[in-house]
Amino acid sequence: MAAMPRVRLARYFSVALSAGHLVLVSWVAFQVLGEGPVALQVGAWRAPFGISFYVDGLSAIMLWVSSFLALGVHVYSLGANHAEEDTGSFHVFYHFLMAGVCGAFATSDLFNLFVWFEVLLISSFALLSNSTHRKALSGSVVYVAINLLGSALFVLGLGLLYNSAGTLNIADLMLLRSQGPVAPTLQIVSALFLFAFAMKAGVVPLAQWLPSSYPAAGISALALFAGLLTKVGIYTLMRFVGLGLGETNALFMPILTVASLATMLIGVLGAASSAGWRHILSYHIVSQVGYMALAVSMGTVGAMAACIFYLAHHMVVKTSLFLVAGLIEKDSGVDQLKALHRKEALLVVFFAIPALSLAGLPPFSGFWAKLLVLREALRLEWWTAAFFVLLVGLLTLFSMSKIWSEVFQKSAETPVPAPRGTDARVWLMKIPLVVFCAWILLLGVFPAPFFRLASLAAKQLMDNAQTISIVLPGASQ
Amino acid sequence: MMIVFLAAVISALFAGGVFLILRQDLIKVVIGLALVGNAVNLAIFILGGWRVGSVPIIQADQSVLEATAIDPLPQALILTAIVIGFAMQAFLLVLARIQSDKAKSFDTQSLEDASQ
Repeated sequence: MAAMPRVRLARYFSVALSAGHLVLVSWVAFQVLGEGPVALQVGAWRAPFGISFYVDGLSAIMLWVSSFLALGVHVYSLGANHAEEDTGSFHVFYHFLMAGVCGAFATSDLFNLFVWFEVLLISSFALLSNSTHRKALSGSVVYVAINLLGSALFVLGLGLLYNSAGTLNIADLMLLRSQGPVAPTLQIVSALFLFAFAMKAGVVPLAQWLPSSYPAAGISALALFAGLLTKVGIYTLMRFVGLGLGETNALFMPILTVASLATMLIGVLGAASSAGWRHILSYHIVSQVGYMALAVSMGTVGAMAACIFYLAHHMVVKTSLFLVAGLIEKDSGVDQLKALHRKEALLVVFFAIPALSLAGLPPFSGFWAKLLVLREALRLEWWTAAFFVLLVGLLTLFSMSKIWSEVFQKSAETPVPAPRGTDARVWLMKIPLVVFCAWILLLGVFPAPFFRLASLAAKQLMDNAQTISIVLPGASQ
Repeated sequence: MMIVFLAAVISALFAGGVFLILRQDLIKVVIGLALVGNAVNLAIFILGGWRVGSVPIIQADQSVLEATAIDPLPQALILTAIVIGFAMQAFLLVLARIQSDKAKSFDTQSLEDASQ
């Protein structure tokens, strides 16, 4: 059933908007990474009374990778032509989701961060429950309920923070922290924020919502969620640690470390014991989040650089995996699967590149990402953590081979009965995969330039003095 | 004295909210989330600083807020949180309505069974 010309025009316009967004973000990222961080006071109200936006290296990298992913998935959805994407609300909430994500990456005010979280949350609710999957409704309920709980605790933490510090501006908090000892109330704030951000990121023991709700989403939405939503949680954890408030509570970092190790292991064991590629890949998200949380919990500049590299690698890899799996699902019936992979060697390549990268094999980006985390762990002499990094890498490889045999040798999960768009343009679905695989190979073969950028971003993250001088010019030290 | 009473109310709201979130009936889950949201809003209100008889409103004959007036910012935060919570609850109720159409009840277990 071909879409009417007006609807098609609307879809193309929507994707063109995503492309325009990427152009703008590239310009900002180019400027920030070249010349230094920039700050913006909304409404020209002076900080810390107005809301500040602060884009430094970390924000720029995250903004760029998110917009890059969003454009790719949008082009893919144009080609996939699923019925659920025919509705106008898909494109509206797609853009709202990107608005929320980009706002969260750019803001320097914690309450504003909460607002952006809610924007992206409700957009993800809409995208999730729009799915035609039979479990969409029950998955949505789980997702909504636990996210609301996390948000409530986040706001409680904000209230306590405002009470003890008098400000919610990140730069101002840095200034206050540099001026003297912090109030004991901030210990509770740290605990509440750790809960809220860990829940958003998908850190065990707050991670079960992810495998319970993600498998029910439509492919394009799922690919976007996998690549973006949990990473916003990791980003806020990095900001919080960079802010220096991670040390106010003596238990913050140790708990995060132990939780991240548990996340890595439980995620990959869940993947190895699941059936159906949606569940396996969802558990992998959890496992890889553990790697990033481990890097954050190390707290050094090198660890933050490793985390940034891992983020840029993982976001693209995860999204590609979901897109490839969706592509295969779309094109195949039960019997066609074997025949498909014989005639569509490209599909095998599209799957192999992100899968091997996820497992951490050279010459793909995952190898360097895992190596950086491992190196930092060894440098800090965290032997248990290093052991877990290696063990989970091995188990990831095992579960990847399991997906391989499942997707390419047989079909354990019956295909989703989405009305098959007979005019699905498969070539459109392949273009973003080609670009993403190129990115993975690029990061894998030439990691040094990107690692330099990541180190620069990590230094800017931990350099509170620079942030204060840009956001609060003229503040007394 | 008042603050002890308010703290007890907030705790009771939290306890009741969490209890309801763990129920099987979807409507009870929605009410539980609403209670938790209300508890948090009340907590922010107290944390924002309050004194009996003091309001964060500029007096009729003044042009700026008095130094002795309480801080209006937390109340703005609460308003934002209320509005966001309201939108979320509306969404959840619609989800509950769709579910009850499908599974003929609000029970989350029946929804699981219906989607098998």
